[in-house]
Amino acid sequence: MIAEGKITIDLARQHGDPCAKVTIRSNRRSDIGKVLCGRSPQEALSLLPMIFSVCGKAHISAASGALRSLGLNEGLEDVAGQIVVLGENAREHLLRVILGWSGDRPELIAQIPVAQVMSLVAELTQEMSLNGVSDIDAVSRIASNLSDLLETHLFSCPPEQWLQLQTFADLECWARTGETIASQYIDGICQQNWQSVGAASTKFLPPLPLDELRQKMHNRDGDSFIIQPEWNGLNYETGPLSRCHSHALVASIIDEYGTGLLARNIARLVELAGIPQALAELATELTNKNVKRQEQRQDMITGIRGVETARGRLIHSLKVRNNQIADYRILAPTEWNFHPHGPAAKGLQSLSNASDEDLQQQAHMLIQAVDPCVDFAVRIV
Amino acid sequence: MCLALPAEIVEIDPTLDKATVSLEGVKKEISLALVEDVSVGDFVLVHVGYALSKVSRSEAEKTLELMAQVGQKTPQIEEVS
Repeated sequence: MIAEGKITIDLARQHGDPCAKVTIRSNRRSDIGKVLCGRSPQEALSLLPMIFSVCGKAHISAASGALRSLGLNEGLEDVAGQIVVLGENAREHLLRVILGWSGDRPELIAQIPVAQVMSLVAELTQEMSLNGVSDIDAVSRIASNLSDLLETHLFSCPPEQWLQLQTFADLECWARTGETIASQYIDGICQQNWQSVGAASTKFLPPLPLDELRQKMHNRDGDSFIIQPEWNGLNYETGPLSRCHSHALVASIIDEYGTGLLARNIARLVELAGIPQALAELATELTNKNVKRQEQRQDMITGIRGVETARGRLIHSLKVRNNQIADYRILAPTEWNFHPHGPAAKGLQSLSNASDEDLQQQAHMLIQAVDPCVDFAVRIV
Repeated sequence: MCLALPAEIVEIDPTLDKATVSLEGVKKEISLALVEDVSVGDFVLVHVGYALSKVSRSEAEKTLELMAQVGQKTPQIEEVS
């Protein structure tokens, strides 16, 4: 039976400490790259959209970047790929906010133009690839439409204005008076005094040396590293909090409440609010120049490329021998975040003094704040 | 890896905007909140309980064939105390 892959988490109460023990089980596929082995780089690129329809543009960007570094691929320059991946990140953040934060109120989802959200990536992709010529004005128009959508349905003000919020007091005022899915969800966290739920010490994934990373992914223990990645014996997290922790509002919330529910969800909103401006800025860098194929000089070569997706850093690393994929490894951000000693586990361990009902709800909210895209189940045992 | 698998819609409940899909004979209920104009017999990509988009039968069959080539992976278990 083909399975989508799921994470199962058991929370065991012991001696009055409700989450003294956290057990994480995963049957997520980590070996999907092997289906690309034995194929030519171009065939592998053509199959990726069928395999990865979630964060598909990020997967294609990572694969194509890795191949381009080897001189085995040509195509639009990096900035075009960055634009499409940014659009995909906006869609993923929006979907997770719409679906995860609306609770049992489908009328909130009905207010959002879901079709517009779902077509965002297709529109950007079309503008990037039409006859190999990018339409800069069209990208700016899509960025402007996204900004309008965020203003109307999430922030109640232009996203760049919302990004000027600097303190918890600013945020509380916005949340209390707002009527959007986002403001009501954040207000709910504050009203329940759950701002610091799940706060625990965490380390943000730094840039990693690519040569060393490539060796770890392809060596004899590569499978173990990809399933449960650590770096120099330490666990890291990757995702919006890792990328936005130095934004004034997020930093202020971390200072006051730690890396709990509030900081994680606000980091997601901060990242989303910044995407229209980032798209507009990247559009001005488009030059419509193709990157030409370089000459391949060795029989056996390896390429690696990381891409920041909505969920965190995605790495593709591959080996090519005589124009055939000899090994293909993919390290997904979820594996850092749901490592048995990683940020999700530490956050869940920190939950305390809650009834079973609250504990179940807090655990769900925390897991969705760490990685809202993963299929999971929580059991209190 | 986050995968969205294609599955065939075998039943639709329009009042709840939900559908029952079948993947290799296993039935599952999903939400149709993110897709429009789907009917029984259509194939959709399913991820975390939602239909993400409609795909053709031939695309669905190719994707499932690729997934089948990967085969089954044994779940790993590790405890944190």
